[in-house]
Amino acid sequence: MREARPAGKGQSNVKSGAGANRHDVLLRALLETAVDGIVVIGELGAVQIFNSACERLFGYDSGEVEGRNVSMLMPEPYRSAHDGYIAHFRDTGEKRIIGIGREVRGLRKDGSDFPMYLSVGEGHIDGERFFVGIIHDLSAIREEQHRRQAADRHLAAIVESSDDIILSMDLAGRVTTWNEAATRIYGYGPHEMIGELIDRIIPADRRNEEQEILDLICKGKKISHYETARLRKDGSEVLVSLALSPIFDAGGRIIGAAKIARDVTEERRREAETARLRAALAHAARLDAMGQLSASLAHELNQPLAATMNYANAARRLLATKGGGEKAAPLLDKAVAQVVRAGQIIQRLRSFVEKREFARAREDINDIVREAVALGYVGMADDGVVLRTELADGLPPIYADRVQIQQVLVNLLRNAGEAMRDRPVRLLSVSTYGPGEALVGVTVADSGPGLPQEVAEQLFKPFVTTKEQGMGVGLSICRTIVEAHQGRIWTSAPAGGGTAFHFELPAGGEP
Amino acid sequence: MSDAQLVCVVDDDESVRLSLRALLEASAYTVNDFDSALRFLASDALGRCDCLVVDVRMPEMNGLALQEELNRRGRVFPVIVITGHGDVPLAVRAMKAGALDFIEKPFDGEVMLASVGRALEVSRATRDEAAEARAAKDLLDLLTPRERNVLEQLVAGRSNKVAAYELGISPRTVEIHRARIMDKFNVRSLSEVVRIALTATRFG
Repeated sequence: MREARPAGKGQSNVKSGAGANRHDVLLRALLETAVDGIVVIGELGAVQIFNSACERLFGYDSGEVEGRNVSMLMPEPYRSAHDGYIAHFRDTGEKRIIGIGREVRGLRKDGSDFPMYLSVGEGHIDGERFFVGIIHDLSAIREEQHRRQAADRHLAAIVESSDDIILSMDLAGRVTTWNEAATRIYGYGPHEMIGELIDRIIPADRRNEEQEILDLICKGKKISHYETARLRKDGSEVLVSLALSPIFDAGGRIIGAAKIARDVTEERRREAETARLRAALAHAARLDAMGQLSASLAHELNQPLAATMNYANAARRLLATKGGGEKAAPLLDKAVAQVVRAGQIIQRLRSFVEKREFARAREDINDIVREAVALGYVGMADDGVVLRTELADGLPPIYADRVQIQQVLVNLLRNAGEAMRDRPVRLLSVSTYGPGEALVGVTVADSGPGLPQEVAEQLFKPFVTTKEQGMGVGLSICRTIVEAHQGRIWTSAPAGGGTAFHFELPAGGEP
Repeated sequence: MSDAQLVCVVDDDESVRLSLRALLEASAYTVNDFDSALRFLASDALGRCDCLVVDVRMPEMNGLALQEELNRRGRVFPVIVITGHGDVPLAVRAMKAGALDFIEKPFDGEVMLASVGRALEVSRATRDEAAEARAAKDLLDLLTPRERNVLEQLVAGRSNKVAAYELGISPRTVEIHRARIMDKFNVRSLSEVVRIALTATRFG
């Protein structure tokens, strides 16, 4: 713009175009079509040229401005300082703005001001100095910047106020941001962590885990619900659930990882507490069930004891006779077998009434059913209940608490037995089935009178019972147990009468 | 002692049944075992049974029902009932139904053997009495109607005089009938005559 020379001093020269040569026409076109504002002032600050862009920017017609001091276009404190700038330059030749340009503010006719980038050049005509100012409106850019800054602040506020730990790190595992929650939970402040390796909060035995995570991030993978342990500054451990995603630069390259970590220590503690209570309740219910079964169980235990006694007595008598030893030996073998049988009953009983934590393992549903039937069918044969079991082959394993699933079955078996007490035909059938690849199912059906509708609806609620004995929590606990295994339990009314209880559990021998 | 006598064991629990059989056989008893009351009732052992050992708790027909069925059929061999723990009310009902003994499981073999021994004695005695009664009845059948009338008076404890008055005959005639009765019975005393008459009526 230094080369751009105003055509004349007067406004008429520029504006009228009278007698203009080709050069003047070009100059005028330049002034009028320029997107940026162009203003020319004299040595003392009087406006000589005020182009169309300026009119648009400031809201003045050029006639209102030309001849007046340019400081009218400046808000305070620029206005007061302006005359001083010019005088200073005139006196010392020291350039504050000329040839460089800087960001200042402009004052519109309506009194509002706006950000602008002002670059100033200097020229001389006939020994008279003049200045050319080019004004680039920064409103839109600044507005955009402000919006972005506001958004950034907003985001930063969210990050800072988050209950979850939010941090980022580069691919070398060096921390780049560290929020308030990170400080609160890990105990290290941002000044201690930013620029440091994240390893500091990772237990030594988990370091390779973190490396594996970073490797995945480098491949552009996201990671979520990854539960692991971290070290607080005080050395204690905290359980966290991690979510990580890669951070890309403008060129789309992965340069780091953003990490959100939720402190799940309390959540896990509460879950463990719930599981503990559930196990205690289940245990109480098992004791209740055993109380009701005790007479039948005593009878069941008496059988092998009676048989043992008989074999032992028989053997003793044979041993007292001449040559009876040979006959006695097989009887003693039989006595031993009966003691083993009694031992198994006691073992089964003991594990059933044992107070224990919820403990799942890989199990075969048919094994569980067989054991449960050995307990639950006790005494029923003598009452004329005929048992039919149909165990499907080739069922997948389940991941289950053996004793608790047995408890569900014993409960269902006893209920079925009671339902049939006054019935002429007493048929108890237990079957396992595979309703789909991912499920195993068990059905316990009786030939009882069936369930009245109102009972069926209330069935799985606690303390609802049609029986005189028992707590009425049996089926409610059955449901709790089945649901703790991510399964479901329900009843149906088979076409041939009676009631059927079904439950299904997800297959899979692993957690 | 146990030569021809038969012990029958009825219990649905195989281990108890077979072990009891082993115990009884070790004591040289002859044993038949059955896994249900109905099988026992259907077998020919029913007629030869001298002692029944039965579990009170069984499906279909329990020990008590079997006892009642035996009573209904007039089978009179002694019954020993085996009960489990807590079955005392059942045991009492069994005794009322005529069981000779009840034994709680698990039991000492000696107790069981003693009970079976006693049962077999009772059985033998019962069989002896039944034989005696049959013999006495045969003797009674030898008497004339008039002699029977006289015998009834004597069994009722009446003197010759009273009997003569009751029957409207002379005391002398009563004496003659009495002598004939003793003759036919082949006994020497009046007390023996009365015993035979009572024995004959015991198993009416």
